[in-house]
Amino acid sequence: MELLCIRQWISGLLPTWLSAWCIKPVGGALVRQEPEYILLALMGSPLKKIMLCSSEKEIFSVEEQVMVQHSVIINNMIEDGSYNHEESKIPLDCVDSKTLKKVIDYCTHHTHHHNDNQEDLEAWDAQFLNVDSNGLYDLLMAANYLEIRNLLDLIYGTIKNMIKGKKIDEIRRIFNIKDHGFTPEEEEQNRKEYPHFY
Amino acid sequence: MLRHLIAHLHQLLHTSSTTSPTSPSSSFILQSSSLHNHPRWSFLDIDDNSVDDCCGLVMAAGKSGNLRMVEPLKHPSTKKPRRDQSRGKSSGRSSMTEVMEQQIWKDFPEDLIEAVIARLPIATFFRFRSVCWRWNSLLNSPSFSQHCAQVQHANPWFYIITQERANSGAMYDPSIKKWYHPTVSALPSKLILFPVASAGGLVCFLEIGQRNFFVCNPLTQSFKELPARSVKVWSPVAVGMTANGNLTGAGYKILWVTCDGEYEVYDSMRKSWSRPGNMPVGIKLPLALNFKSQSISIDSTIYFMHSDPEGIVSYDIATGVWKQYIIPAPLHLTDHTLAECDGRIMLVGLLTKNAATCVCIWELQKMTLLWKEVDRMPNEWCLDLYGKHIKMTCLGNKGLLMLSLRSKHMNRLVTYDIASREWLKVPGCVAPRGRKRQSIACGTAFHPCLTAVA
Repeated sequence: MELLCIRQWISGLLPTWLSAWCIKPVGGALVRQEPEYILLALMGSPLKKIMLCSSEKEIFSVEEQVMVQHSVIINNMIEDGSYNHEESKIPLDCVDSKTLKKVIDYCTHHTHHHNDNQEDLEAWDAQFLNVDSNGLYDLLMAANYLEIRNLLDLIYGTIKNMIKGKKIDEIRRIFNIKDHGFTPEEEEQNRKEYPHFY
Repeated sequence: MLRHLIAHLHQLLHTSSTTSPTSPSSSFILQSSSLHNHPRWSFLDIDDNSVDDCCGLVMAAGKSGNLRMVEPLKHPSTKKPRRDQSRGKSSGRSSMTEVMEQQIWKDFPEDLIEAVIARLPIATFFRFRSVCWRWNSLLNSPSFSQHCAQVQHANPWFYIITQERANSGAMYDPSIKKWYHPTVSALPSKLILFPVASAGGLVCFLEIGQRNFFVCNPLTQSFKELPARSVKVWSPVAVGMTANGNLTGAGYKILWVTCDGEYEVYDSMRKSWSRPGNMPVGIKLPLALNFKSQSISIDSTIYFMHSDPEGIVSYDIATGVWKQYIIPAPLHLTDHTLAECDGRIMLVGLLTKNAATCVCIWELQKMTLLWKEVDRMPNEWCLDLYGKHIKMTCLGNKGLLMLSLRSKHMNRLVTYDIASREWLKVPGCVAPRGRKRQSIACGTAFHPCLTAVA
């Protein structure tokens, strides 16, 4: 009986002890903390979260700093005060839940790992974009809508790599360009203008 | 007892976390952009660590009661510079063709297509102009121009003139190590023009008689002859060029200056030359300008090298102010030239001592105004220069240097990336349908910009 009480007492005090020792639980692991951050933590949690609502009405909670760093649209909303932390959520009607989750993953990873090795980051990005064409397209639209510059650059780069080796006829087929308006003579004219690039 | 405590701790942590441990969005890691601190967190996984370590952790806190328990772990900064990002990057997609076959791309929005096209390799862009009339007219499109301005090219290109064919040039793309030889030059073929400066994707040429200036975009070959200078000057001129901003329509300014202190500025927006004033009294005339060294421009300031006294003279085009810096040159230095990288002023030159020659790189220490050696060419390469009378020409001095090393029996080209400190060999410049490596007379680096218009 006494042992149980002691255990309960310890378990009650444990969170306080942990925070005093500047160790916070983060998803099953212990995280060391810098003294400056302790001070901030003691002043009250600066870690604001914001709510994003997908087109399927699913709510995602994400750190404000993460989204503000990456998305120009969300940054503007927070800065001009149109977002109220207590009550509102940001509706993103053109982004579905699956895509929104991926976008949040991207922003979160790049915020927390921005000091990583460039090769590691690139490997993560390559893995991140290992999706089918629908997924890639949706990600592009979401990144364009939210104005996430580095994700946009990444996706543009991927698409550019896909098309750069293709023949002109293939490009026309992919992008459904039916009336291209070029006669073979005109194509030849183009080639003669900059022959060194062909 | 302690083992029980640790186990209990473990249990508490698992129950206290609201989402799965692997989800990053549930972390409490603080990121304060105003502090500009690197996140110095490190994960201490209880599962992997021995219980003894954890005991140590707990015990130490218990003993000293000190808040600061552990040393901050610094992540080794092995970040490669951003310019390396596009080099040798493979997309790693095995099903590229399948992806592009999907119906989804048929409705691709126009402005996003432009963003993708702006990122294509230059040669591919010219090939794809024939896809349709819309893509063909992108060079004149303001929206495409904006997309191009947003693209960060990893490396500059180089435009060079060879001694064998002085009235036509060649271009080098260091990302794919390829030379391009335009067979039809847009510039008047009867004139011999030397590239003397570049900014904003445009190259400034000076005619051999030092009378007329031409400005050209080497990629599209659109060029313009500048109006004649208001002063007929017969002495040699040093030339500098700055771009007014990032966008291609923002314009550029060109400065020429002589040893007598005469100078003029061309403003591309006003399309005229102007004489902003005289050299300040403090600068001793005549200026012994080093005409072999190209100028550099950082923001709106152009820097020229001068000897006697050794140093740099600078002109801020925005404020119209000339300044002179006396900087002693390193000993035994020849064929030296200014270079710049991300706002840092560098010097590259040949160091010859007792028949041993090496190419060295110095950086200007702004506080002390002294050159500090920061790198030199690898020893194996320097051995090839031993005992030979070498002449070095710098063919590009913006971030990526291209150096031509020539002696009686040697004609070598190398590039040096100032940021990544990488030395690379350059394939010889061989004329189309030719076999012999050509000797490069002079050249300049330029940032490839499809929509830059002279």
